[in-house]
Amino acid sequence: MSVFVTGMGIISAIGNNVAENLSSLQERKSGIRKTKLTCHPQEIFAAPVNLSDDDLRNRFQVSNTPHSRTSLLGIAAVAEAWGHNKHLPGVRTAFIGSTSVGGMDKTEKYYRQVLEGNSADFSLVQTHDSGNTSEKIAHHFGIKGYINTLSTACSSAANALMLAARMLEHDHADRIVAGGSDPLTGFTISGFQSLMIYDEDWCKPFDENRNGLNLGEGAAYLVLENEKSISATGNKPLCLLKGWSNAADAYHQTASSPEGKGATLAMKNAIEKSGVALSDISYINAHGTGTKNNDLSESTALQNIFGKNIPPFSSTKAFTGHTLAAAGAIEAVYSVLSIVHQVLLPGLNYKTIMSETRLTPVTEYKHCDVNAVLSNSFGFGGNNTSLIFKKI
Amino acid sequence: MYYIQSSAYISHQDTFRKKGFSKNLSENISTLIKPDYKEFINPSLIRRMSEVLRMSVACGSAALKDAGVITADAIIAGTGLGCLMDTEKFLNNVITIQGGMLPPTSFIQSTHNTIAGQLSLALSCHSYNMTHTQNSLSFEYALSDAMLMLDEQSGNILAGAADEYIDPLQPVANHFGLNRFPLTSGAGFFVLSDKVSAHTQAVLADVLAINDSDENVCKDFLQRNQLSVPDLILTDGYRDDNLRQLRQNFSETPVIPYTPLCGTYATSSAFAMHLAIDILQEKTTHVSGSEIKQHRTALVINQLLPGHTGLILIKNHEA
Repeated sequence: MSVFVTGMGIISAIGNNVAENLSSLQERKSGIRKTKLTCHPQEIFAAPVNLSDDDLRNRFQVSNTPHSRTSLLGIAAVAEAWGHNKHLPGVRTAFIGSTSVGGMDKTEKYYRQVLEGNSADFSLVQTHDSGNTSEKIAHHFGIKGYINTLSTACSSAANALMLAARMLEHDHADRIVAGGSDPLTGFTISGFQSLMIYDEDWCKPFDENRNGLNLGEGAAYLVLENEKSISATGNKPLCLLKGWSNAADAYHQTASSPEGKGATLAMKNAIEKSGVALSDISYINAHGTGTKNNDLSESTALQNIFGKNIPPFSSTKAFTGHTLAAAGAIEAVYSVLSIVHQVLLPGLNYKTIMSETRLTPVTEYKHCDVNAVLSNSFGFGGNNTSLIFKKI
Repeated sequence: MYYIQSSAYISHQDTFRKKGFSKNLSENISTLIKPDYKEFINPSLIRRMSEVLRMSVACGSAALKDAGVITADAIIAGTGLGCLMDTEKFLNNVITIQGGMLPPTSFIQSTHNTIAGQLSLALSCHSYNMTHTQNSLSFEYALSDAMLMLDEQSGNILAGAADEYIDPLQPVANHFGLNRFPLTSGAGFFVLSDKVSAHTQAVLADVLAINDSDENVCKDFLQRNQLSVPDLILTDGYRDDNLRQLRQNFSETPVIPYTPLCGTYATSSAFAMHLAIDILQEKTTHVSGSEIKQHRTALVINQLLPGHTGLILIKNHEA
C-alpha cells in the first residue's frame, strides 16, 4: 500500500507558512539572529518564530483554555496542512504528534513561581505533559480516537512520520496528520550551552570551523493518506513517503559514534525499504546540526552508504536553527518542496571543507531533476531516523 | 499471535521476578520495592542514573534473560511524564544558577527517550528504538507499536513502560484532585514475540488506546475479539461511579481495582498487565478478596483519565 503526502504546513523563523519558507530558502535568508529572549538571561544566536502566543491564539482562533506554545505552533502548522480537509465517514483519521519538551515553556514560569515561594498558577503546568501538546492540536481540528505522541529528542517528528507510514501501510488508519513542534525554552538553551555545543556565532553546518548549533523553534505537520482516503478526499498527492527506518547508535547518550553506525543503519534500511536506487537519490537534507561531532559522524555515514558518489546534500538548520523535535517534520516539508519544485536547497555559512571527509554541501538554491530525497534526523540517546520521499 | 515470553516489573508491590506475587499483595504501598540493581546494571553507571532509568534498565535486562533471549529486535517504551527527576534537577539549576556553566548530566538524561536509549546502550542493541508519551495511554500506544512491528517482521521485542514520582508532583496532583491514592513509581518490560517458546507465559490478544472513548468502548473491544465476558477484569478503579458501572455491566466477572495496589502514575496499566500475567498462570487464586477460579482471559481497563481508555486483553497460554 502506498503512502501519499497530500498536505503540509509549517511555521518557523523563516516563515509562517510553506510559501514564506520556500522564498526564504530561495533568497538564502536565515531566521537566526542575535537576540535577547525572555526565557534566557543572555543574548544568543537563535531562531524565534515571529508571532507571540497571543498572535497565534488570535490568528487561529484558539479557545481560551491553557495551551503551551508547543501546541500553538502545532496548530499553526496543522491549520495549513489540514487546509480544506473534512472529516468523512469511512476515512479513519489519526494524529501523531511529537515534541521533546512538551509544555516546558509554561512549566518554566510555573516552577519559577514555586521556587520563589509565590502562589503558583497551576494552569501553567497543566500543559506540561507531551501528550497534552498533541491532544490540544488534534482537538482543535476535531481529530479523535488515535492521538499519540512520540518523544525521541531531535528525531521525534521523523519518527512520527515513520509511525504514520507504517500504520497506513498496515491499514490501521486511512489518513494521518503527523509531525512535531517545539518552542524555544530556557531549559533547552541552557542545556545545549551546558554541553558546550551552542555556537556563540552563526552555526556553520559541514564547515571545518563549525562550533555548535543555534536553537530555533517551530512546527511542521504533513497529511499522509492511503489510496482509499485519497479517493474519498480528492486530495492531490504531492509525493510519496517511500522508505523509513529507525536505528539505535547504542554508543553514548548524547554523542554519535565516530563511524556513524546508527546513522548508517538508518539510511541503509530506509533506502532498502524504499526500493529506490542509490543513484536515484537526488538530494539529501542532512541532520547537519553544526556540532563537531554530528557533522563528522554523519559525513562518515554518508560515505559508508554512498562511497565516493554522495548526492548533493545540505543542512537547512542554518536557516531555521535546530528546532529539536520539530526538525524532522520541518525538513520533511523541505524535502517535499525539493521534489515538488525540482530544486536543491542550500546550506548557509559554509566556507572551509572538512579536512577528515572532504565533502562540500550545496550552497546555492538551484533547479535540478529531483527524483527522490533522503532526510536524516538524529537525536539524543543515539536515536537515528531516515526517511525517503519520492516523486510520483 | 503475540506471545508474552517474560514480564519483569518493579513497583510498590513485591513484583520483581516474584512468580505468584499476586497471592501476596500488600495493602501498604508506601515504598518502592527495589531489587539489587548491581545484578543488572554496571555499578559504575548506577550512581548517575535516576530511579526511572535504574528500574527500566533492570527490568529490560531481566525480561530478556527470563525470555531466554540474547538481544531485542526492537525496544519500545511508553512513559507519561518521562525522566522527571533529571528534568526537575536541570530546570531547578536553570532557574536558580545565574551565569556560569551548568552540569550537563541531568539535561542529557532529561529527554523522554533516555529510558529506551539507556536500554539500547546497556544491551548494545542497534535496532528500532521508540518512545511513546501520551499521558495515561503511553503504555498502550507502545504495545500497539510492538504488535505492529511483529506484523511487519518476526522477532523478540522489548516493550514496556516507566514513570517516576518526584516531590514537586504532589502539589500539582493535589490541585487537580489526583491525590486519592498515593503518587508512586513503577516500571516494567515485557518480551513479546510472534513465536511460542518454552518461556511463553501468556498471549497478548489485543490492545486499544483511544483518546475520546464512549461508553461502548469495552463492549466493542470484546466483540472484535469474539468474547462476551472476560474471566477477570483489572481496572484503575480511580472513580467509584466508574467501578460501580463496570461491576454492573460485568456482574459475573471479578473486577479488581489496581490503583489501590500500585498507586497512581501514568503508566500503571503496565503494572496491571504484569499482575494479569501472574494471575493467569495460577490455577485458582484470591486477589484482593475476589476468588478467581476459571481464568483464561483477563481484560485490563485503564480509564485513569476521563475520556481516555486503554484496553489490554491477555489470554492464558493454553486458552
